[in-house]
Amino acid sequence: MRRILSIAVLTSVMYATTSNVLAEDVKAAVAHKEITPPIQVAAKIDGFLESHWSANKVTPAKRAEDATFLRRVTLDLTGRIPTTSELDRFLRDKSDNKRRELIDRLMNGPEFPLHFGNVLDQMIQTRYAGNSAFVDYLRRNVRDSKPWDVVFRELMLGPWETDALKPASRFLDKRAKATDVLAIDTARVFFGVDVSCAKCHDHPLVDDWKQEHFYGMVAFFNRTTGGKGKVGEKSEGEVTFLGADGKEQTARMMFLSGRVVEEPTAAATKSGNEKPRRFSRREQLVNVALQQKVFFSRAIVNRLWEYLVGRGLVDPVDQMHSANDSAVPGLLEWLADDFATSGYDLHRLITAIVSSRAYQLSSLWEQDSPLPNSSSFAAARLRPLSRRQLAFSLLVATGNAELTAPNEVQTRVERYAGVSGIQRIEQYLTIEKQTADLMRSFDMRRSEFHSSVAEALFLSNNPTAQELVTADNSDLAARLGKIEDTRKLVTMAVRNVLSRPPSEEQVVQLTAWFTRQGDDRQQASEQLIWALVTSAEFRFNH
Amino acid sequence: MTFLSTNGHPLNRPLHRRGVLQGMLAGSAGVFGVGNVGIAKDTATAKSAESGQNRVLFIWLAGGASQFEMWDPKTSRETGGPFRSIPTAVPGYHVGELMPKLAQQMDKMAVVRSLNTAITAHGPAADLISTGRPKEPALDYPEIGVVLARELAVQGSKLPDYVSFFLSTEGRRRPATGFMGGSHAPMLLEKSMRPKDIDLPEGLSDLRHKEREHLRNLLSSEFARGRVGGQLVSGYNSAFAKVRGLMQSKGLFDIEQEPVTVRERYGRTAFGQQCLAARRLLEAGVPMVKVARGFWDSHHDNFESHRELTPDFDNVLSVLLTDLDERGLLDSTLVIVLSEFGRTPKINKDVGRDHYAAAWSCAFAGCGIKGGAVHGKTDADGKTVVDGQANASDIAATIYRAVGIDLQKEYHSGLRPVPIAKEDAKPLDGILA
Amino acid sequence: MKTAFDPTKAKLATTCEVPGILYALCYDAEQGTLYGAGSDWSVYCVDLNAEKPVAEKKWTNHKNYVSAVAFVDGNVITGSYDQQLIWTKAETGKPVHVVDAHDGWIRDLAAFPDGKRLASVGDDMLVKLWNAETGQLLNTFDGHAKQTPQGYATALYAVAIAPDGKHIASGDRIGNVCLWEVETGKLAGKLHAPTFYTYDPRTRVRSIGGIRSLCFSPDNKTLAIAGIGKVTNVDGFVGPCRVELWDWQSGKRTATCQDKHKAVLNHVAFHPTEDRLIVAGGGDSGGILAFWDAKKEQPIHKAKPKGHIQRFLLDGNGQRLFAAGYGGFQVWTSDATSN
Repeated sequence: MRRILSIAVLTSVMYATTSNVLAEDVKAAVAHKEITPPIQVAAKIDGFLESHWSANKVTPAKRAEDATFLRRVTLDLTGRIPTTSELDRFLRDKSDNKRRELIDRLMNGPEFPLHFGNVLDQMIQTRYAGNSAFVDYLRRNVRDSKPWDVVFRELMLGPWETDALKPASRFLDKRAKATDVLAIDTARVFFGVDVSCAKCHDHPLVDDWKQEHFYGMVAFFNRTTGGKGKVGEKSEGEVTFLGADGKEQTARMMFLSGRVVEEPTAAATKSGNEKPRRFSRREQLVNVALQQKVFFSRAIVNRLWEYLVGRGLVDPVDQMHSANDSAVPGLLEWLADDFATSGYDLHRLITAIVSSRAYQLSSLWEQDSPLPNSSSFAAARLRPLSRRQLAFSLLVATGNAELTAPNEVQTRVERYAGVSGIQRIEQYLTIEKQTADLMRSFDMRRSEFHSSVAEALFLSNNPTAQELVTADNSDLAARLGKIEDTRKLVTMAVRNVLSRPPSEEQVVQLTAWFTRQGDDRQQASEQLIWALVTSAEFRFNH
Repeated sequence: MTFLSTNGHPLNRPLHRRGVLQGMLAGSAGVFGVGNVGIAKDTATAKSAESGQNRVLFIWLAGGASQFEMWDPKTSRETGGPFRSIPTAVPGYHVGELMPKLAQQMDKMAVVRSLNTAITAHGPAADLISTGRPKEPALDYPEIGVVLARELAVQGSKLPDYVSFFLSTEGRRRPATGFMGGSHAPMLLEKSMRPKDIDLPEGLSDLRHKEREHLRNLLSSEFARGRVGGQLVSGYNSAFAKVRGLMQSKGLFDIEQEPVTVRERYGRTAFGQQCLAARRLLEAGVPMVKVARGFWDSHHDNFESHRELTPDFDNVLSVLLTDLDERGLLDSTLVIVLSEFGRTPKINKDVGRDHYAAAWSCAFAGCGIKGGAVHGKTDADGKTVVDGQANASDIAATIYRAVGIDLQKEYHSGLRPVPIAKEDAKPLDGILA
Repeated sequence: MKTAFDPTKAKLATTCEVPGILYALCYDAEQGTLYGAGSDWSVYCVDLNAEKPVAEKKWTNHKNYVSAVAFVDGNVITGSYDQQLIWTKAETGKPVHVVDAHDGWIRDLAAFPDGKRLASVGDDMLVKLWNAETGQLLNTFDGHAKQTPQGYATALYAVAIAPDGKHIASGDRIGNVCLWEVETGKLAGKLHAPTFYTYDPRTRVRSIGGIRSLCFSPDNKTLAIAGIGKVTNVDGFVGPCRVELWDWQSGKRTATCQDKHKAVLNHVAFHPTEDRLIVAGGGDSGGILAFWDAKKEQPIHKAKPKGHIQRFLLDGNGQRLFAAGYGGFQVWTSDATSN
């Protein structure tokens, strides 16, 4: 009781100090400027795709089944498989609107910001991901619907004085000692462009990127200092490089669009009695990038599309240039423009994408005609779970994760504190702690995913992995062990692990298998759970 | 070379032994008596000996071994240090006195004395020499071993393609798969010589272990039918398919199965044990094995350090070469000895040598290598290369050529074709057979 | 009354440069000549009476590093990594005796106080006793392990002779000291000081360290053992410089002197009159010449010598300290008058 109260107090303090005002601003803007609601954006996405399909004479796959959709969207938005009560609720719901309502529940629930903070952390920090202060900073941004351009500004410029914003300096701080890396990573993450090849010579394969572009980006960062927790910027310093002709040149600040930024001379910065405003190269980058909009907005839209659908509209996501066309003509451009003009609202964009027909297609190709190229988005595709998703889902599936709804007292607490979802936040963070070690044994999700023998060995032989499915640790295993009706048993197993009811054929198949395992029903239950959690259907998002 | 018989009397090296071994290799399925290398099912070695499967053993001397103390002594020069040089089986070629055993086997080895790779920081230098490529920001090159594993992999083998031992932590380098992706990532042995998670879990019978894997596989294959991206499932299943094979071949990693005489020959140091394990793996048909011996970075007390490290290296490598030779494996196994750079001619105030990449050495033996060849020369003080300068790409190209890989072969990174060897790399023909 | 060498006033008075490293030195007090053992196989000398003393290459009789040198009765006796002991008559430069002394690098040499005998130690892990005049082998003491516990090469770095000439101490790489009764040749005792040897089984899988120097106190009660303490990175001398004091007769350690200056102490000596130790060496924190009150943990004074010192000795008056090491000879004084 006391513990719950103290968490409630803590959380409400957290809420009070962060700017909830931002979300309100956007809502006001939506009402006032008539920003199209996500459902209409979804319709627009579908329109583009339908034209694309018809132009290419492609018949897309059918719509994914309810259980499939529930699992997919729950994994994508909260990082875990649904519980059986969530499954039951969704399957029993007969309303036409149920998918919209599900999306709404997930997008506005307490787990979405927690999960998406991690997703953004991986996206932004890449090899430096995992710092809890930075992750929580991102989680707060997601929770408060902070616009993406504001986030970008905070990461690049601060202010970093408050406790809430201090972690934002970490992107720069981790890279400040290597300016090249800083420039390359910024361009990759925020502008969807990998210019590193243009360092030594004009890009051998891409006409767009010359040495000037590479050093142009570096020039925005060369005065940035940091690396020990405090990021700053010197007031002078130039970047020089050896051109392909061997002559040394001074780099001008140049954005990827080719726009050059001139540095005002000392005289020009003073006007009358005004104190000369300090010239910040990094600030110039932010201004130019946001003014130009196109790179900035397309990069994030493309990355989020890739995260949710499995393949970017431009593929790979950091190779956006003129020779690499976007897969669906017009879609990325429109979506990015819409994103930029309606306040860089990630929440709205994600809602739109998962509400679209394209996202909700089945991953089964049941037509006779061969499967078209992935750029057609004619079907959903298998996507490996991230290590975090896999670990979380393992605990949920085996009944090792506490995800119960708040009881009477807890509900009262939440109502009193004026904040909902506190209990779920605590449960999520508890699971996160439980899975910290387990996660490390799994293969990382990446665009060229590969299943390692190390993971297979871990799951097959490691004692920790075995413990996940034993009755001592797994609530599911304990329950199954007590069920006498084998058909009931296997049905419960499939529902809990694979988040769907089994087909009759599968019930027969599994019942036969189970019976063959002999008298020790407890052991057989454990092995059944093992086979299900290690099956491909569990391992992948589909 | 004498061996001890079981009652402790030395035996002369039996000349017929090699013939006996080869006869056994040509036989059919079963367990080999010599060394008790048990291979559960197929005689990978028999097949490979027939089909000409090549293998590679990459001995990585992490930290920068000193060429002055090993391959390119400069006795009686100010830069030479206190070790004498000794003649070898190759007329006119001397090595440091700390390598008397290898000196006798120099007719099996080829040495390159003229490496100039410029980079003297551990990480970047190691990246350069292990990939054979200068770093490109947008393209991650795979480590040479990864390429070799891919090229030399045996279809359908239940053994890993690439096993990498790096038990010391300093300078530990995980062979990078680069743009080739995870399919040929090595099995990493970093905490123990034994692979992790290779034992049947306690309380689970072998039958149940099999049964549940069977079910897992069945469910996964059924699921994959008609699925977009089904090849991810094949990859997933093939990872599990390797599990039982690895569990069955875990004996390969168990050097206690070797006769005591053999183990004593290799010696009780960690490096010796790992090389013995490596020989077992190579013999069983693992195409690529890397053994790292760290850490040679003798900035202070360089001579004491090499007094400690080099004799062990000398003993182990010479025992290994003899062992491979006697088992009829040396002709089909390329042995590479490489560091990330050499050490300075100048002896510093702490009686040490620092990093040096302007003139240093590496060595090879076995498959595709001309025994007794010595390529390149340095000046009298070992400060510069005066003949036969070679860079990291040249070494990589030499390695590929030695095992019969076409240097023009291309891989793809995304859409971009990437030749296996750098375009201007020149394999060192002088050391190739 | 002799003026004590005041460590707080210690200053470098003269350097006489030699290329490479000098590993040992000795002093002919009569002539005022220093002899240094060179890494270029040569013996160097410095005439300290000259106005501007310089190092002069005298003889190259050895075929490897000269690692030890003693001056006895007009002869410069040198030990070398070439495994030989050579007696050279100082006046003529002619080798008087050439002895194949050890089956391994000779590391150290000590003359008995009466000048009649010598003790040498080498990497065959043997202590050998010699007639200082004839070069005849008198005895061999064998008590040190021939390998490190991990099975690698070891070394016998240090030898010291008790002031009454009745005992010899020898110290090896792995931290063991053997005490020998000279007359009988018996092992009188063994001291274990393993802190001086760091074997790193995890990060670098090799070792560094060793007992580099031994010295008996003037009252023969204490044996000083010098080297480096626990090393964190065995690529270098990255550990505190360290001296242990032992009541060698009872086999008990009486004091540990350790300073955070990261270095191996190559030489330790008791001050002839003051109750203090002098140590010298070098390592990760640079060269060191330090003066230690045996009763205190911390040194009284640390001086920064030029380059790292391998060996030193005090002149008879205790007013000058002669050091040899990287770069050659150094002469230190501790009063206002230089030289």
